[in-house]
Amino acid sequence: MIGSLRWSRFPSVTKSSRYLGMAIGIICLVPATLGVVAAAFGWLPHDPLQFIGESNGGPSLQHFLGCDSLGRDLLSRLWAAAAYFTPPGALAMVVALSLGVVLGVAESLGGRFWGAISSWCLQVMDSLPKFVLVLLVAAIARSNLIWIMAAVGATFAPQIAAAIRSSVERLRAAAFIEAEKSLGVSMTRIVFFHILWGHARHVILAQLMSLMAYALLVETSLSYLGGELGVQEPTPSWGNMIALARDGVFTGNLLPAIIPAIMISITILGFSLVGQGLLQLWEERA
Amino acid sequence: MSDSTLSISSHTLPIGPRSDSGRLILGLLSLAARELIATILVLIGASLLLFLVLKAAPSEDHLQLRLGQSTSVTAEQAGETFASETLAGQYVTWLEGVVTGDFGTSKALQRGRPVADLLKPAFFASFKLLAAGLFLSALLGLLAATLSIFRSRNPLWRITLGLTSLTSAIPVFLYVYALVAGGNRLIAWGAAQQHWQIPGWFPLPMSPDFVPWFFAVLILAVGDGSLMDMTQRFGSELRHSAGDEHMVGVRMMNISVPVVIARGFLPGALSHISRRISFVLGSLVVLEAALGWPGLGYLAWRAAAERDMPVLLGAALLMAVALRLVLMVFDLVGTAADPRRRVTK
Repeated sequence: MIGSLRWSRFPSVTKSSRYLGMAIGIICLVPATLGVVAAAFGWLPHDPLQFIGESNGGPSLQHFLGCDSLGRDLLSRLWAAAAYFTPPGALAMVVALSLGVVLGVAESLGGRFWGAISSWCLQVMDSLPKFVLVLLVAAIARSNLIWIMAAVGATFAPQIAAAIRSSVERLRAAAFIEAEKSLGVSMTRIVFFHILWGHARHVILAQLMSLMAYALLVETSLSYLGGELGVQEPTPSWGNMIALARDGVFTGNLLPAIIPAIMISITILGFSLVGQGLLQLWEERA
Repeated sequence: MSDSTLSISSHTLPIGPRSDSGRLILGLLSLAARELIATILVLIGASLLLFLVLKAAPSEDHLQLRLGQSTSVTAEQAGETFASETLAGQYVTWLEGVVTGDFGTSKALQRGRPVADLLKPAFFASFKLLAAGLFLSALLGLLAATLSIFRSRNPLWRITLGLTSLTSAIPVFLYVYALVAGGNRLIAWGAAQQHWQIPGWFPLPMSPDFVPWFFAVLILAVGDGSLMDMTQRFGSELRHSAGDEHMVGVRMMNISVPVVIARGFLPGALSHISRRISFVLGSLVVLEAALGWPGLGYLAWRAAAERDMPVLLGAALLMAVALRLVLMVFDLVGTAADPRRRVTK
């Protein structure tokens, strides 16, 4: 009885909590976005590769966040790392979106043969552990971030394809689609404009946000672990910045390790919260 | 109408395992056979994909595959023969070896040692860690999801959920770093102040004792977004399961609501866990590599770092096989649990 009373309320996520979550997510992404903008417009306080300060120097007016163990400006390296990650991260999104759209649409609308082939391709890609496939590509590409992120995008394509397939299958028999068909609107326009853009963009965007969080996780993990698999020094990455500052913790120099760690965590949290908010928005509409 | 059948027009659909257990078992066996065939086809595809990725390498990495598998001829001779074969021939030669358990020999990690000998003990060590991590993550996720539904308007609980999201967004390697750096300092400080004795597993991560192992499981369960993802998906599944239209009928027929919700929730939850395994395997690689614990993940990372392709491919294939088998089992359990899925299948 208690169960039926409680469950009968059909509990759902409140609008305020969803928007609060998305707002927090966007705020979490601000520091990384600032870094990308600053690096793109040349507004970095110092050259991130130059040894200009004191080793493990504390925060000062010249160096707002202090310097790393080699005397390089920490803030400049943090922002440069965000900027350095952005193009490969965008490539991962493009690869995932292209593969996911092609395979997802082929699976749901390609007929028996192409549908089966696409489904098999997606299952094959999904059956391999994502990180291990990325490790293989990293080993072959000798830590080239472009190839690593392309692999991340390819491993994420099944998630995008699943979202697309679900939207297409849900809407293909809807009344407005039937009406468009009878008006002579082409199937390509119906799929790409009315279904994917009109109805599935939130869920695709949510998946892309998850992909960015995962791509950042992979890049920083590889760069932290070393083994010439991630971003190599002197190129800045939040992962290799922590790896460099690893021993500083034992001598009391916490800042060079803590600040990149905070940046990684809040950026991943930001992508996840924005993705979750978009997904809930889609679920509410569906 | 009996309590275990539901009449719809002229059809009578079995809605519980008691109605026709023989049919249920036969149905599940038939589904298992179909799933097994699909799994074999998918694994062939996965091996082909791995082979093609290696073939696309600009260097001579792919030759390592055949070099490792040859025992009767010299490595150079085997490499030359392999290189002169067609692409399909090379793949079939390699696959033949893999199917018979011959993954080749290690080229860098333990030069000359069969890869299968390296993979076997590593697999079992990692499997325990992975299973425990996933179980804990699912358990914590279910708890958080259930509480988030019942206590959704409680501000304190919402803050707790927010903090859960924040702790879950922290990558596994950061947790390991904090555990090793902070944990060791704390233990050493406490021992110096005579608050406690130095434990047998000090310093981390030297000994695979229960306490460090438990911390590793906890990190795997929470980090890399695992807990946040589980909470989110489980919450969504619970809401769907509780909000389905048939719940009105369930109440009218006086069937236990929590049981129906659980049976509706289980297939979706298992499907989500099986999708999550792929990500948790990645976390496992990072965890083992950062801790230096011998396991399949550590082996894969070392193999990648030292470009030992036979070991890396062996580890990837073994993980793919395990992943597919778990997926198959979960699908069968999900089908057995939810009567609606059973009818549609």
